[in-house]
Amino acid sequence: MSNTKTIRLERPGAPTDKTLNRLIGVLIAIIAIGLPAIGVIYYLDRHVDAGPSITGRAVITAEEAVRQYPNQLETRVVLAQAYAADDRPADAIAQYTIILGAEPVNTTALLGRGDLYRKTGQLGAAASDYQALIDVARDTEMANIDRALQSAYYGLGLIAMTQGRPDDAATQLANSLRIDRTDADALDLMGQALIAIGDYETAVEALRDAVAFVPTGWVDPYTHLAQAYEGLADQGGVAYANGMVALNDGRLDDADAALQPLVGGSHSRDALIGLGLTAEQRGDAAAAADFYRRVLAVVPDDFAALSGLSRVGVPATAPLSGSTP
Amino acid sequence: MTDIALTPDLDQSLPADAGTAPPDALGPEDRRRRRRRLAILAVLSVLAVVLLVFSGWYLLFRKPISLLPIPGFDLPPMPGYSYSLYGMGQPTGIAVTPDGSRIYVTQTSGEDAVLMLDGQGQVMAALQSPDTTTDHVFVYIAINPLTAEVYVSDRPAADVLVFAADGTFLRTFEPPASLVGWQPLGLNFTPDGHLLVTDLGANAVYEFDTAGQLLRTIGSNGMFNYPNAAAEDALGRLYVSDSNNGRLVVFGRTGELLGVIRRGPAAGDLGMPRGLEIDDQGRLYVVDNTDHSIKVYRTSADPVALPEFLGSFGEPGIGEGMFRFPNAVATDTRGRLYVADWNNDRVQVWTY
Repeated sequence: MSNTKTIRLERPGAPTDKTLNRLIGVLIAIIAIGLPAIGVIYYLDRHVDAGPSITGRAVITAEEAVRQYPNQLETRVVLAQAYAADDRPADAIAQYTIILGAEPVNTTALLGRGDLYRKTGQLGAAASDYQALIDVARDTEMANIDRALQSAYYGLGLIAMTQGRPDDAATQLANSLRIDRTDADALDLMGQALIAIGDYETAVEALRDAVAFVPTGWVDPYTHLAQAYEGLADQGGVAYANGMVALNDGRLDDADAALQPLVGGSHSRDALIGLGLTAEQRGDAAAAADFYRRVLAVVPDDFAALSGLSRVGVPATAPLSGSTP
Repeated sequence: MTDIALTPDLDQSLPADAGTAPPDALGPEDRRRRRRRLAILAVLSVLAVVLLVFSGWYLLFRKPISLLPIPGFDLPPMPGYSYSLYGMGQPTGIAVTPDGSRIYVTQTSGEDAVLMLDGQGQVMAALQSPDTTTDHVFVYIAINPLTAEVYVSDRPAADVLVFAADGTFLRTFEPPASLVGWQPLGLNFTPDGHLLVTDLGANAVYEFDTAGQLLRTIGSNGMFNYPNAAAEDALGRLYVSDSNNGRLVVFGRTGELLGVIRRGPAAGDLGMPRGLEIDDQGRLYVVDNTDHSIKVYRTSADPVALPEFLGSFGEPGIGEGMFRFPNAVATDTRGRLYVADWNNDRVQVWTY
């Protein structure tokens, strides 16, 4: 057994501990001064103080107007709307309340405050404002085209659904759709209410109307449509709706897989339109046009197919490159 | 450091105080401390070098950190909203000096003048036509990269006006006799200083050399419908926003048609393309007026390839980062994009 021990000597010329400490101190100082300095230079160089946003500027202007004309209700309506746009619901509600104190039947204020109450979760107060608006507006000459009245009915429908009263919701939404039957939001909500009631057939009608107006970029109505078809035990309809959900989720292969087997069946037209939309999403205009023309070969005035062909820039009379339906 | 093995033999030759470490020898604790110091020194040195390199790079190029060229890392996919400049009415065209210190904005409501702003958005001057007898609507604007002169298209007068960088009116650009009656709209410069002009009269695009001589005409065969803008990339490909046909048409260096990016719902498809810009990173920006967004493409290194769609930014609305019918886009060399947000009466600045 070797009886050795090792000691380590400093190499001649190697920095001493003192030198190392000094170097460490210098580097720390460089970093401690340099980092904030370049940070400040970077911030000042790239930062521009642009002042208030558009909505902030609208609030400033409206506040100035109200200061000048405090008794002018129209000015306060503008201020309330500016507050609402600037995401200041409490201030907006306060302005609407002042307006309604002076003019209890101001429908703009009732609808504006009702919407803000609803968005902030004060559903009872919101329903009260909507109902007050309806009481004022429903028997007027313009009731059939009154957008504020339509919005109030829709608001009541939304609240009823939130509170688990689908029957009431369906009634209010029917009133809303009587004024604007192209309101896809109301149609979708009506579909949900009818599903909750168990009226799947009417729900399918409402939801198909909703997706006719907004065929892509909106998943919800297709999800609800799948539920409605499920209620009708229509598996083809369920597959179609799920295919469209996949399409709107951007899962194009899943969409194709769901829709292709439906071609030639009872949901053939829907599937072909869906496949056309999928082809459009892939940027394949020729394939999309083929799907649309296969629909037109059966239903020559099919609006969805005609508008699809228009989108892809192919004449409806051009010959098919594939098979017919 | 030097290791010395002390053998028993050698021990015998050592003086009486052998066995205790000499004054310059390091014990285990010293060595550990020293190693720690050296490690700290190494880390601090690396940090200091990184800081110095970044500081030098930033002071030299003035680009955002996200554009720091690190091998293996690509550019960030999309820029982010930074701030807005207000005080103009329906800004339609925009041009920016390379360092971003001067911003020229045309507007289609309010005063019929081109606003010259500083980098902070303060109005420095209003550029006006010397002709006060007719109406003027200034639409598109471009800066000559060789002379810094500012070119502005004037729709009702069917003129291209030329201003000095400080806003002084210099002259009206004179087209050749064959183009008398033209209706110039979109303006842009190629990297080598050639002027590109879109003409709504002939629905064509013209390229003029630095002396103002017509070099070529593209699209006079009825290909375009209301071409709003044209831009040329570093490889000589020409991009034309064929607005009312809802497409971007791409030509090769010799004018051959390479392809189109069409109107449609797929990613990268267009609605109504208007202004175009290519930045110093080779990215092509297309203003989609009806989609209220800016579509971003990467120009290809293959001279006959179409640009690759990278993504888009913006959505409809009045909030920050939202557009209402944007019309034009410009870039500086500091990683900033300037968008003429027409119906929001502002210029939005986005940065990487």
